[in-house]
Amino acid sequence: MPVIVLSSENADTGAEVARAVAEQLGYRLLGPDVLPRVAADRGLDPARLVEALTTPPSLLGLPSGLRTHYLACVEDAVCAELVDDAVVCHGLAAHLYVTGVSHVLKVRILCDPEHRSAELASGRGLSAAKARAALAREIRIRRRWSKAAYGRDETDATLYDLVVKIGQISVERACQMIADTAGDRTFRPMTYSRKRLQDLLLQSRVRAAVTEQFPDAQVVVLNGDLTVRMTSLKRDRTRHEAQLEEVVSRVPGVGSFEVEVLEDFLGEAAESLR
Amino acid sequence: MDRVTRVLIVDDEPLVGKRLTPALEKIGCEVEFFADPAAALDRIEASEFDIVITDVCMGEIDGIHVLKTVRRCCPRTKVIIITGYAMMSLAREAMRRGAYDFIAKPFTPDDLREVVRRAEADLPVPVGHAVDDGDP
Repeated sequence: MPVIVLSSENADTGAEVARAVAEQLGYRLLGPDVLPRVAADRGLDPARLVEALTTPPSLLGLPSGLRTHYLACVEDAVCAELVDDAVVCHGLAAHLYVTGVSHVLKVRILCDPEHRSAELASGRGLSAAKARAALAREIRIRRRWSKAAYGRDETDATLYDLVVKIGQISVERACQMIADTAGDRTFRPMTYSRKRLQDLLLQSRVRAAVTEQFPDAQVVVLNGDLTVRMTSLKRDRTRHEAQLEEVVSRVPGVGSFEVEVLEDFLGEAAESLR
Repeated sequence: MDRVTRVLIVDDEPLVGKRLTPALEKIGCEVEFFADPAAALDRIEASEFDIVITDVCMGEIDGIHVLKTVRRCCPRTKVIIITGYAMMSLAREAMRRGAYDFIAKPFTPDDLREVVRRAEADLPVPVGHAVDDGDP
């Protein structure tokens, strides 16, 4: 059975649609309520975990290395759930990092801007003009966050298989459209797509492990082959290579792998100017 | 008596046939291999196979063409696509057109045997084939 990943302009609407789809299809529901468990399991700060998933980088915000590590931990936890199929996932940014898996149906939920502005106006006691400005600001923040975290604008419709606007289309009707689309043969799991998701799981697991110490490390798993790359100053290369190998070898499910620590020429140049 | 599963493999790389034919004969399949997709299509139109395993990139006749032909001639036949150029869009197209499975190369003989076993289990009983299972 396929995996359904929802991204929404508004978290509450996304959650409502996700619940309805999961109920209709008899799928498991995976949402932001797993974050406290993810934080507890990995010794992370729960508030900072939410910040990593919602707030763009800023001078006074989460340090970038910590942000990278926290996001890697979320990806690991999410991918571990998605490998079992038949799940509806929302509010965990899976649409941005679960890529190339043909049985993952990605859906973007849009909200009617007038309706959403009215909600903001009544909820926060704002004028109509201020509510519209607040809505535009929310969308800008999400765009900045997704570009900073994953190099992609999550409002880009080409990221998705299906885009549904709630307003003229009811939640019930949207749910039916998503369920019907998920039933299409196109989104059936196959050996290739299951292996791709297994690759993503191993990749995210290793990234969560290495980014605690080496947030700039790049981890790639392709057809089961694991490669970890990073750059270091010349004097640190051997030590970092050994440390990376040690960390990677302890990750469950890792077989053979390759670690490449390349010379950081820019860093070396900066050092030489001191 | 168990019916023998008839498998046709088509791949323009003869080495693939040398590897996969004995791998599937080991689990009791009757295998015919074709390096020429045109000859494979003639064979498919002349005789029904339980499973067709086809590469995608084979020059003028590609695996999607083979898939379409099989779906037209013998809808009960399971088609397994194998390719060294696996992409999500190609995988989805293959599934949309009725492929049973899609496997990226490289894969092990065990990987393929597992898929073939599943395909065998999902095969409908052919018309006219009597199955004596003791039930009335």
